[in-house]
Amino acid sequence: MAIVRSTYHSRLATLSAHTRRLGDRMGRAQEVASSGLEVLRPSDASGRMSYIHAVRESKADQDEYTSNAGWAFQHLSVADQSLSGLSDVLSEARELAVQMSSETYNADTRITSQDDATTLFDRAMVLANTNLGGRYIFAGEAYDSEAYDITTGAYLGDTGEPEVAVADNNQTVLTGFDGSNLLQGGGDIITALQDLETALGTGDATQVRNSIDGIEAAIDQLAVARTVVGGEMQRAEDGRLMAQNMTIALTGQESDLVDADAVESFTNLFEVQQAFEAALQVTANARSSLLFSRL
Amino acid sequence: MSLITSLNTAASGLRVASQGINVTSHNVANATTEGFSQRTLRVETGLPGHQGAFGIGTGANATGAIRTADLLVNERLVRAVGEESRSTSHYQTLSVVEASFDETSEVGTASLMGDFFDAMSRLTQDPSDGSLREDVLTTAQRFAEGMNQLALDMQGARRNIYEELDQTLPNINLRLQQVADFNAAVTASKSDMAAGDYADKRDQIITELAEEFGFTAEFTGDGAAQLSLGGHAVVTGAVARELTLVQTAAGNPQVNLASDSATVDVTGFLGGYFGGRMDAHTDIRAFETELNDFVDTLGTALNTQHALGFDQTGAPGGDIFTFTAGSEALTLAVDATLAADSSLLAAAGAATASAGDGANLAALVDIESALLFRGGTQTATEALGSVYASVGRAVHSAEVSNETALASLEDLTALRNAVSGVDLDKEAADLLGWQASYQAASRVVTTTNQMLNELMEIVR
Repeated sequence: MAIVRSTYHSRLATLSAHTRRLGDRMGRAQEVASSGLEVLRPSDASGRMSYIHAVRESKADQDEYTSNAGWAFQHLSVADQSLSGLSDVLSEARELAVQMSSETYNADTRITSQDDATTLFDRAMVLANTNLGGRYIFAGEAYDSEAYDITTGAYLGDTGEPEVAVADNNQTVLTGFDGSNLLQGGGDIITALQDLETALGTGDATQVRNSIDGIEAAIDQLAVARTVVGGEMQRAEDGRLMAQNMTIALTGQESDLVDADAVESFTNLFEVQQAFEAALQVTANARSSLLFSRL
Repeated sequence: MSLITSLNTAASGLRVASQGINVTSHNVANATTEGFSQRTLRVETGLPGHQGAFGIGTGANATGAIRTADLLVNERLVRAVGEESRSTSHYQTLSVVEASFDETSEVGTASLMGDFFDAMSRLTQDPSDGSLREDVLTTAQRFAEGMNQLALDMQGARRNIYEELDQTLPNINLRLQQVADFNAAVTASKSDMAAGDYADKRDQIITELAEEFGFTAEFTGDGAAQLSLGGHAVVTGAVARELTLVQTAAGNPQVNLASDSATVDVTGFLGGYFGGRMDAHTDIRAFETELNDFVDTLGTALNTQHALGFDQTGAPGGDIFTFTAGSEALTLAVDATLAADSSLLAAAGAATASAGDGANLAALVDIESALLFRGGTQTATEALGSVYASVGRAVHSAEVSNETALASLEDLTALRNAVSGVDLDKEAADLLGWQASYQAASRVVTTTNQMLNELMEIVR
């Protein structure tokens, strides 16, 4: 608006108003430059608040997924090692069965080698009862107690399979297994070893020979089990990598949304400071331009 | 014309110059006085005396000190002061509330809600783990406390308004009466200088009243000011009506104006500082409603899902959260029974659950990303973000209004200063002028005196 009459005090009031505005801008510029943040409160980006929250929450979720995936991978690694051990046990069992099914051995030798079969069964039981931190891997969701009765080989767990989320949309990875399905599904690892032990106890070569089919089926089952566990390990690793990549992407996105550009914010601060100092100088000059001071 | 007449004429010039210096000194003394309007000495030519056929001038007379004011500008300024004050208090109050929604820290409610769901997600690793169960309850408690604090902050910001009004209203009534008294003094005053001083003081009070309550002012031809609120006259001439405060059943403040027949509710017409506070009050109510709706939806969804699960004793789940309808955010708390025993967290999907049964837990975690909020269009995070966005929008809008109102006030203040403000340069020039005028009149007196002396010498 046009000022029809400019007085000493109206000039000072106008300068004061301009200086105040510059002071406000300088305060904001200092806040942004010192915090490194463009968005410090909801009113700084009200239209983006929902999105900012969603990005931050998604980032927090990725941390959980990374943790879950790492945690699952540990348990799956232990399961894989157990299955590897069981593989050795079954290989030895097959060798023993093939060896003892030969007519070159007599019944006494077979009966004596029953102890070897018992040892193999015991080793298998230890492996089937593998636990990590007291959590029995092959006991299903009943993982707080042993999966198998080490004497009878009876399954003590349940048919549930614990899992954790490793990505959005309910993508989960197993962290334990139903032993009655994984180890005793198509081929029965436990029964095969028990059958061998029983056959050797009879000293009968035919019975021992017959047990080989069961062992072969158990070996096939074990291969399936290792494929299942390996697949879960791969998914856990994929989940971990995906969560890490997502974290990097979301961190960048959050930064784009809330962070201030350092160069821009400091340049702006410098400019506003210069303008503020100039305004103070002009005000100081205006204070001395008064006719009374010249009388 | 006699020499004696000349002496009187010169003396009138001395009087006018002397009064001119008085007016100048009054202006200079009040150059920084808030609300002061500059005075201009009104000088009129003395009526001519007659000597024979000649009409001779008799000098000058100071007939008054005119208060330089534009009534329209003053009326607009009063309104602008009210609007600026209103937008400032609105903005400042909302800014205080907004600070409670600070999400740069790690303790914002959105972060706390995320922590709660993350803790439940972690519990899926081992639903039987006691420490992970405790972690879920701890984060639930922190989330509830965060909500409580948010609601408490907003409630506090609202409650203060009634207390402030209660403390301020007696003073407002006192000042309304002062305006009425000054109206009477202005219209009754015989002197321009005194009337101007009364008007300046009254207008200063009117400005302060506009700042507090947003009264609108109209200046009448006789110099009186009429104050009103939403068209209801509060001060008319020498009469001021009293304002009273009551609290409604809903706990809201209500300002009534005494009228001839009954009291009138003028709360909706309040402007100025308290108008802004009432605007903020309305906004805060809306935030509270949004937050309560959010807590109600989230709490109900979690409790419903929790009831479908089973705890470690095989019993169905009870409530996770408790809250009271109408003040959900303020009363949100973890159910006391559950808080005391984490084994009651119904993580399992079956009554005869194994240690690792976290079927219900997974369903509880899914609530975070389910479209349950705002008519099934938003997730929990988005819905809470929308509450924050509402706060942000309101604060930003209030800030913009405040800047606009401030700019308008600055313009009108500049205009008022241009019309009524004291110009020290002009006063300095006037001072020189009056001084020269006084010196000239003095010289006339001296010269006339010499002439009279010479005349006396001849006679002697």
